[in-house]
Amino acid sequence: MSATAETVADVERLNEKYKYGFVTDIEAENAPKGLSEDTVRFISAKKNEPEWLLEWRLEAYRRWLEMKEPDWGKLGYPPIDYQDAYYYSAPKSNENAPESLDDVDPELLRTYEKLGIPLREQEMLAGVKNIAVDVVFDSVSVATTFKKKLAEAGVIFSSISEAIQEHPELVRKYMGAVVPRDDNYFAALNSAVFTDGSFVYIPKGVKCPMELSTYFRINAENTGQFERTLIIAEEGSYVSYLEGCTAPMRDENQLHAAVVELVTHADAEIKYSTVQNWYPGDENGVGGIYNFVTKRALCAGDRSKVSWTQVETGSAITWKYPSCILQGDDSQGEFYSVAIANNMQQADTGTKMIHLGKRTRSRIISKGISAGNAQNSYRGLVKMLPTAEKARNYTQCDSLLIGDQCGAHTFPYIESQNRSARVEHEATTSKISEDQLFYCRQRGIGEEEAVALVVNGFCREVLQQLPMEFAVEAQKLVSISLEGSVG
Amino acid sequence: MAAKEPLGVAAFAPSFRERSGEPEWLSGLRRDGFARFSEGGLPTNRDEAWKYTSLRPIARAKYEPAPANDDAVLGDLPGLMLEGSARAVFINGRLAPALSDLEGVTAYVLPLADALGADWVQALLGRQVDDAQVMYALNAALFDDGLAIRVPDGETMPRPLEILFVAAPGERALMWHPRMAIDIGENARATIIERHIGPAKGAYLANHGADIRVADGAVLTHAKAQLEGGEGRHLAMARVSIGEGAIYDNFVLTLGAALSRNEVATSLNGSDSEVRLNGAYMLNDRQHADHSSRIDHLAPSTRSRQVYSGAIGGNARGVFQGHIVVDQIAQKTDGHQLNRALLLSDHAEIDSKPVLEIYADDVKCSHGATAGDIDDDQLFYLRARGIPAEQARLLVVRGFLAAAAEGLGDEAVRSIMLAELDKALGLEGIE
Repeated sequence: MSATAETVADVERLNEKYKYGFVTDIEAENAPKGLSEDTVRFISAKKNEPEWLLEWRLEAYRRWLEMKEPDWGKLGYPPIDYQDAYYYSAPKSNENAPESLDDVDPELLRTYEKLGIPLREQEMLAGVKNIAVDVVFDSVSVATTFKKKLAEAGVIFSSISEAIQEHPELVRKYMGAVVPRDDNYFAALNSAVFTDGSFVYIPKGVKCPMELSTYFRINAENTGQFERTLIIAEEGSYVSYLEGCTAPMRDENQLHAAVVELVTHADAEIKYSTVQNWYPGDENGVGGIYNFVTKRALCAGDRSKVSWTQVETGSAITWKYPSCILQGDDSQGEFYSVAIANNMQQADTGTKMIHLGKRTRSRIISKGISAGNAQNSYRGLVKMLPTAEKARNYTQCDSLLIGDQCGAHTFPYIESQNRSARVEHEATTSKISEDQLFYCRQRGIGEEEAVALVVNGFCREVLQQLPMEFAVEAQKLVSISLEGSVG
Repeated sequence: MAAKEPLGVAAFAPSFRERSGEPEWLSGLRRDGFARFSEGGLPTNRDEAWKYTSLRPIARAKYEPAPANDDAVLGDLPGLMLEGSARAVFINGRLAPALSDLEGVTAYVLPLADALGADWVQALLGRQVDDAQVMYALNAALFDDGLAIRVPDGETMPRPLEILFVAAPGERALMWHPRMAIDIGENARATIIERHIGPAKGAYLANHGADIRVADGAVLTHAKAQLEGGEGRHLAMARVSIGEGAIYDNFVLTLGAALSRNEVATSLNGSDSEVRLNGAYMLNDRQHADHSSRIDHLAPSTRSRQVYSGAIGGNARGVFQGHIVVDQIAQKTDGHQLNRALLLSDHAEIDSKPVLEIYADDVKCSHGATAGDIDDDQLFYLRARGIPAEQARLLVVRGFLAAAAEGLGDEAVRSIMLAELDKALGLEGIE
C-alpha cells in the first residue's frame, strides 16, 4: 500500500471529526498520523498559505522521498519511522501533560530550582496543563512594550506564519535561498512540513534596539518540532538573536528537524546565540529528543558578519552544523560552540566555513565535553575557494573527557584552493586535569563543584561570547549537565 | 534501479586467474581479494576513505599485467642510496636476481614465492582486510612477485636493505602488484629503504602491498623515496602491527608519479610501543599525491608521532588523511599529528582531514594543520642576507619540508632522504 493510500485509510478509520476529509476541514486540530502529500496540503491549508508556498512544500516533500537519511554522523539510533509521527498538532496535545508540578519528574524540578527558574515559568516549561501563557512573566505587557519599540525602529519580528501572511514578498525572496529545500534529508523534511518559527527583518541602517529572543515568543506560541527561522539583516544593520532556553523543555516529540537561514547584506551583522537544552533522555538513554538541525548563514554583502554561538547540552542525538557562506569581500564568520554530552547522549556537531570573498575571515572555537557513556564529535569544514584571496581561518577544537566510558572525536575537513589564503587548525583531546581538581578539592570545594569549575574554565572562551544574562545561566547549565559524571 | 557494475571491475577481471601450484590458503586469499574488489570496484570520491582521491582514471587506462621482464629496456641502475646496503632490484614488479646484491642477507631476504610454505608468511598475508582497502585486496588477488623478509628474534639484519623498484613500461600501459611480507622478530632490528623510479614517459600502475610485523622490543626503520615516472601511478599500502616496546619508524618522500597514494595502517598492539609516520612531498604540474595514515592505539602507554609536510605547485593537489583511533583500554596514549602544506601556485590545492577518534580518557592527543603560501618574513630574512629571491624561496621550501624528517630516528637514513629532496630542489651541495 502506498503511503498516500495508507493515509487515506487512516483518515477513514478516524472518527467523524474528519468526515469531511482533513484537507478541507480547517477545523481539525491534528493532522492524522503519518506523512504524505495530504499531510503537507493539510498543514499548508491550515496555515492559509498562498499557492506558491504549498507548491514549494510539495516539491520539497517529493525530493525528500527520493533522498536517503544521512548516516555519516557518528551517531547510533534506531531507524526513525516517519509514518509513525504527527506532523501537525496545534495546540500541542495535552493528553499526556502533567496535571500539576507534583506530577513532573522530580529531576526536572531540581534542575529548574538550580537554575533559579520562577515557579510559574517552571510550570510552563514542564508543560503543565492549562497554564495561561500570559500569566507567565506578565509577558503580554512585556511583549506589547517590545512590539511597540521594534515597530518604531521598523524591525519586523514575528512568527514565520504571520510573516507569510504579512510579508509574503520577503519570505518568498529569502526562504530557501540559503538552505535550499533539498539541501539535505532533514532540511527537505522541514521544508515540507514546517509548522512555525521566527521571522526577523532588520531594515537598512537599523541597529535593533534590543536583543530578540524566541524565549519570549515561544511563551506565546508553541513552535513545535519543525521550526523554520529566517533572519534578514539589510545593509548596515545589526541584530542579536537568542534562541532557546536554558531550562530543559519537556516535549513528547522525539524528532526535531529545524532549519535556520540568516542573510546579511553589506556591513550588516547578525549575532545568533543558542542554548539548546532539550530533554536528553534519562541516564539509561531512554527517551530524549533527536535534534537534526540545518543552520546556515549567507554573508552576502561586503564586510558583513555572522557569529554563531551555541551551547549544546540537551537532546539524546544532536546533528547540527551552523555554517557560514562568506560571499561578500571582507565578510566574517564565527562559530563558538560548547557541546556537552553526558550519560547516553550523542552529539555530532560543528560548522562549515566556505570562503568565497576576498579577505574573508573565519574563526572556529569548539569545546566538546564528554562524560558518562556519551559520544561527542566535532565535524567541520573549512574551504578556501580560488576566489578567496588572502582569506584567513583559525580553528581551535578542544575536547575534554570525564570518565573512561565516553568518547571524543574530531573530524575536520580542510580544503584550500588559494595560495594566499591561510588556514590554521589545532585540536587537542585530554582528560580533565587532576591537578586542577586537586587544587579545588584542597580548598574545600566539593568534587562536583570542582568539575563544574574546571569545565566552566575550559568553556570560558565560548561562554563569554553569550549575551550577559544568557552567559550566567549557561554557566549553571554546564554544571548541571555534568552532574553524576564523577564519583 | 538497475545495479551498475562497480567501477573498473571489467578492466581488471581479465588479469585474475587461478594459479596452480600455490598453497590452498593463498588461492583462497586471492579469490577473497578478487571477490572483495569486484564487490565495490575501484574507490571513488564517494568512498569516505577516498574522498579526495578518485581512482576513476585507473579504470580507463586499460593496464595490462607486466610480462616477465626479460625484454624490458633498462638504462644504468642508479647507485645505492645508502652505502653498504644490500639491494633487491625489481623490474616492472618482478624480482631481478641478476641485478640484485643480497650478499650477507640471503638468510633474511627471500623471493616471496620461495617462502609461501612458511607459517609466518601465511599469518601475515592472511590478515583481515578492511572494506576501504580495496586496492590491497586487488593486490592480494594479482601479485606475481615480492619478498619475504624475516629477521629472527634478537638479531639485527647485517646490512640495510634497499629495495629498488624500476618501472620500464613499453608502448602499452602496464601494471604490477608486488607484495612484501616483513617480519621483524622480538628485539630484532632492520632497516629497509624503498626506492621507486620510472622514466618520464610511459604509463604504468604500481600497486604495492606490504604486511609488516614488528614484534616485541623490535625496531624497524622503513623509509621510502617515491620518484616514479611522470605518467606512472603509484598506490602503496602497508599494514603494520607493532608489539610491546617496539618501534616502527616510517618516512616517505614523495616526488614522482602523476597520481600516488601512500597509505600506512598501523596498530600499536603492545604497551609502550611507538609509531612514527612522517613524510615530505613536493608536487608540480598536475600531480596528485595522497598520504593517508591510520593509527590504532590498542594498548596502554602507546605513542604516535606524525608530521607530513608538502609543497604544492602547478596545478597539483595534495591530500592528507590522518586517522588516530584510541581504544578504550589504551590509557596513557600520547598521540600527535601535524600536517602542513605550502601552496606555491594559484592553482595548487590541499585537502586535509586529520581525524581523532578517542574512547579512553587518560590521553594526550592533538593534531594541527596549516595551509598557506610561504611566510614573507622568512623570505625577507634570507633576502636581507643577500640571498637571491628564487634561491631564498627554495631554501624556505627546503626547511619547511625537511622538518618532517626530524622525527626519523636513523640519522643516516634521514640524510639520504634529505639528499634526495635537495636533488629535486636543485639545492645539491648548498649548505
